[in-house]
Amino acid sequence: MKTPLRLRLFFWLVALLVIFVTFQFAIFSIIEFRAWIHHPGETLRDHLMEAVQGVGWDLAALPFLIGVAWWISMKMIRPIQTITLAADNICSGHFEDRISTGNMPDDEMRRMATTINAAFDYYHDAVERLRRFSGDASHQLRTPLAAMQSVGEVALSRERHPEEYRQAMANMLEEVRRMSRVTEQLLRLARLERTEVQSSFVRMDIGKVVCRTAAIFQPLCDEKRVVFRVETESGLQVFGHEDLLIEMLANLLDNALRVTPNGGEIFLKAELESNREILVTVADTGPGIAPELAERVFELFGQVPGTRQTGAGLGLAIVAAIAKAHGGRAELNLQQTRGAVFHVHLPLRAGVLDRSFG
Amino acid sequence: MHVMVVEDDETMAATLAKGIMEDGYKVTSCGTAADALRIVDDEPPDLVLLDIGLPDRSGMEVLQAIRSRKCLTPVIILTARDAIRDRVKGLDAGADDYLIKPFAFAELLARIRARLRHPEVPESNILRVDDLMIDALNRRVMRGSHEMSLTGQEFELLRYLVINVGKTVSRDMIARDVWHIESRATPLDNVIDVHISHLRAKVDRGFDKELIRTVWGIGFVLKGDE
Repeated sequence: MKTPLRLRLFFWLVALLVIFVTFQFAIFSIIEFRAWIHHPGETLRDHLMEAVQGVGWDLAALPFLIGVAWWISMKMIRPIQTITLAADNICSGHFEDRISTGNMPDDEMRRMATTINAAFDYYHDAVERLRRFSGDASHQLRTPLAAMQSVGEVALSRERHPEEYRQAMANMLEEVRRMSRVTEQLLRLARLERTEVQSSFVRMDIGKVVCRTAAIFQPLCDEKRVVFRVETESGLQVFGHEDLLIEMLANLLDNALRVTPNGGEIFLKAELESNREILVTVADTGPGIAPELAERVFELFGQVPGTRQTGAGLGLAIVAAIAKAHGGRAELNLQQTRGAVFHVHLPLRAGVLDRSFG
Repeated sequence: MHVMVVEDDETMAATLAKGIMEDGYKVTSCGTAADALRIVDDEPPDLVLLDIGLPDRSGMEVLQAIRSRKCLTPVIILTARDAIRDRVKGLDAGADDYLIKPFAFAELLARIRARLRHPEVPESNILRVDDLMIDALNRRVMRGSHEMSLTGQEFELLRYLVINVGKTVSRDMIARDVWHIESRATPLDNVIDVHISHLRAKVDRGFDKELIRTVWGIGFVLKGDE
């Protein structure tokens, strides 16, 4: 810091006082000069002495006024110092603390403190999410590793019957598959973050994507005796990647199928929502998702209740990422009272619009 | 000795139960917090292995419930979360030990033994296995009447194997207890293998009986006569 703000403010106030006194002296001098022209009986020197006396009181009061300037500069800077101290304290590790705005008057300073607090909230949230991510990721990757290691070591710890070795190997392979799936899902998410994915987009009919995905899931629904209703209409053009869109729907249907009891129902529908958007709906008759979990389910490792045993909690994060890569969004419909209803909104690419992507 | 395993991952639970049972303990295993608390009430175990992430309630709550029953049973937490914050939380809640997945099974068994061990007579400075004798105080090693010279690290490694005589130790355990390096991300396996082979050349070469043996896929064991 070259010159502290407080000192600069003080200098400006003092300069203002000096200018004021000088200005006053100049006015008095002019007045006295004119009086001398009209009454030349007295000397110019006497008249100018009167002007000096006129500002004399000002000069006497000057030390007091400078003191007042010092006090004002302190008073103005105090809130900035308070805010800086509080922010420093937060930066040095007290991430839960905030700048207290309770006894600040409703002015610019308070607004500044509120803005800084909002920035800290955002930052704290991001750090928390990262912490949660590394915790969850280590859990999802280490759990199968732990099982593999224990199964292998216990199997090798003594002579065993061949059948036991076979069982151990099958168990280890099961864990390998589980881990590969999590790894693939994490890689998929990392790739979706990059924008190059859009370079492979072409114009396509979402109705066809819906039908292809439905055909893949029909046998599973039959086996579980779940009624699978599919509805779509023609002319639902999107600009996208077919495999990714199938993966998106498959993740939603996979979830739906897992939470829907035998004899339940799953509903897949694609429709025109407005002249700009397509709405894809996946609904099930499972236990549904509590509104307070709605935010969490699309996050990385955000588990949907009832799917914990089978999934790592990445499926819906992938759904959201694919929808986003296509310029759309995925959300959970909270109005529903029975089962869970997921909506994916995708931008419609009809007629002339797609030329801008050519 | 009765060990209770609280673990919701089926493969893991079955393997833990099998491995611990084969080491000579009675094992009860369960996958939910509710079952765990019932077992604690009906058939109090001598030691609890507790996985932190259970489906119905957090393992931490089980731990608190066990402790609130004024029960002093040793509890070893098994978890994949190794953030300092999680560890502190676990130990604060009354856990006795904390093992991070994945772990070497030999290490788990060693920790169980350590928790169940009764106070013993202080260890002597002279350790013997078969015709091998090591003097920890003067750092001398004899095999039969032949005295051998070991480097400092070789001596520490041999002493560790002798202390754990008859028990398999993994490379992770050696890294932690002999080299004092906790992080598994540190590549020490080759270093350990080289020291083991040097140690073998000095301790076993030229003798009829091999004391240091490799346990394939697990680690090493030093064994005298059965």
